[in-house]
Amino acid sequence: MLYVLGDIRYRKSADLIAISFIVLGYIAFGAGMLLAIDIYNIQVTFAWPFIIWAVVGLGVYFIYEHKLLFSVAIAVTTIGQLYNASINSAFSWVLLFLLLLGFGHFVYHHRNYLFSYLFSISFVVQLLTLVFAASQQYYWLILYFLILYVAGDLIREQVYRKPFKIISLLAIFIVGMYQTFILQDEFYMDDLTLQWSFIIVWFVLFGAAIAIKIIDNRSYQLIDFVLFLPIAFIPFSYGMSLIVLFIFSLVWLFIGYKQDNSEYILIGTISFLVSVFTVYIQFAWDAMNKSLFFLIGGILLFLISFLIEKQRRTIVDKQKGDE
Amino acid sequence: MKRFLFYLLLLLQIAILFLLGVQYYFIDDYGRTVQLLSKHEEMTDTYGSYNQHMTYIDYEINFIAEDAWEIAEEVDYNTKIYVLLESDSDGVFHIAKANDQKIDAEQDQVVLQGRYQYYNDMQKEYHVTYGIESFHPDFDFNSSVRDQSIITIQLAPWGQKKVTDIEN
Repeated sequence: MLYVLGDIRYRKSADLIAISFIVLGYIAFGAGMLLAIDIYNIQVTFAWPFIIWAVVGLGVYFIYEHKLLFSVAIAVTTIGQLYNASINSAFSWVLLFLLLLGFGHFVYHHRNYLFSYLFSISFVVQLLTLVFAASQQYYWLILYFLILYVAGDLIREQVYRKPFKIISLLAIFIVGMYQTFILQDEFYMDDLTLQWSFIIVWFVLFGAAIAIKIIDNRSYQLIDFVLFLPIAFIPFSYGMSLIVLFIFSLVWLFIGYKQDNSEYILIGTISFLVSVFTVYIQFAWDAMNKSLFFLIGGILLFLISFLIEKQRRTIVDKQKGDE
Repeated sequence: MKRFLFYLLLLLQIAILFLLGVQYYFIDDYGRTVQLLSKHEEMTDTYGSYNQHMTYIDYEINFIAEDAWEIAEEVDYNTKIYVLLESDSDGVFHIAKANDQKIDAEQDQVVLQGRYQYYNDMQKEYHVTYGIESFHPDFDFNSSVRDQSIITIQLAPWGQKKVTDIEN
């Protein structure tokens, strides 16, 4: 019914009200399917309800080509993956292929920043689910995010390159922070086995990524790859995992000031401050009284926000001065 | 073209919703009848309001003894488990063996697909669920009786299970 209403309206005037009805119809379909599954006690052994839902979403998007429909459909795919992992403890490859081939197709043909961002976020979330659902070693994430990064590097258009790289760097930075915690933990370290298959694949991809950068004459961006190093494999990995975060942020700061690029300075500042905070949590959590910990942590957070704000203002001023 | 696709997609969605409902009633006609025992007395319980009541049953086949368990390694929570059931002279099915690989069923045997939950150290039992433990019953039964009951379920060829009767 909602579909029909939306379609009638769409034919009269293709506006947001028409699309909203279509979105409502789309959501009602999925909700109806889940409700039927509950009422009739249907045993769901893999993610088929979400696969159907996502395929219908792609079809609806193909008909109306509206951003809202794309966003809702890609959200359904991603949430379906998470839900399937929590209920069935399994990873749905079909949903990942739907993302790569189905949504990827539209991301490629309908150049749009929003689509590229949503696509890369969904990619990151799905592969995170893969690592947890298949109980893979966490360092496989490095490889998966490197794939996203290299994909962004290979394509020349900014509309794909920027979102892919930003999301993959953000994801790998968070993995880097996570890694500083688990490498410190002997309980996890015992669980950590090093797989040669990973090293081989990683080596090939990493080499290719460096080659692309050098051929493209963007060698200063090589610093991004410091985050994609498999720290877990080398000695003193705990210390190294922290040092890597600092190298990344400091070099970006340095490059940013040298090239007078406000964007790079921002990357450097934020990552530097977050790194400082990571170190603070690491060293102070055990050593300090908890009330003192939160007091100093609060002051630190205040200082960090103050510095970021100050930074932002100088950048804005500078940009105004340039104009 | 897109006009046509719109109607196709609309029909497809209606068909899917329709199928989900219809298959429930087809289970009765095409399903295979299997009788199971509930675990103990006082295990059959109903909860929820009168209008949308749910029934919860602990089956005998939820608990798999160690000697029927044919998996050597430790299994993760939610792993798929194939449980082979064999009928006794009364036509009630009991556990023959459980494996994480597919098992072929013979004449008076049936294979159920369950999910591993946990291992009970005290009872030396593995707990496996089949997705039919809690459901909305669409038949009348005496829920006040607390004796061990015989539960009739239907197994559809397309993998769905449905509880059709509870006898005390």
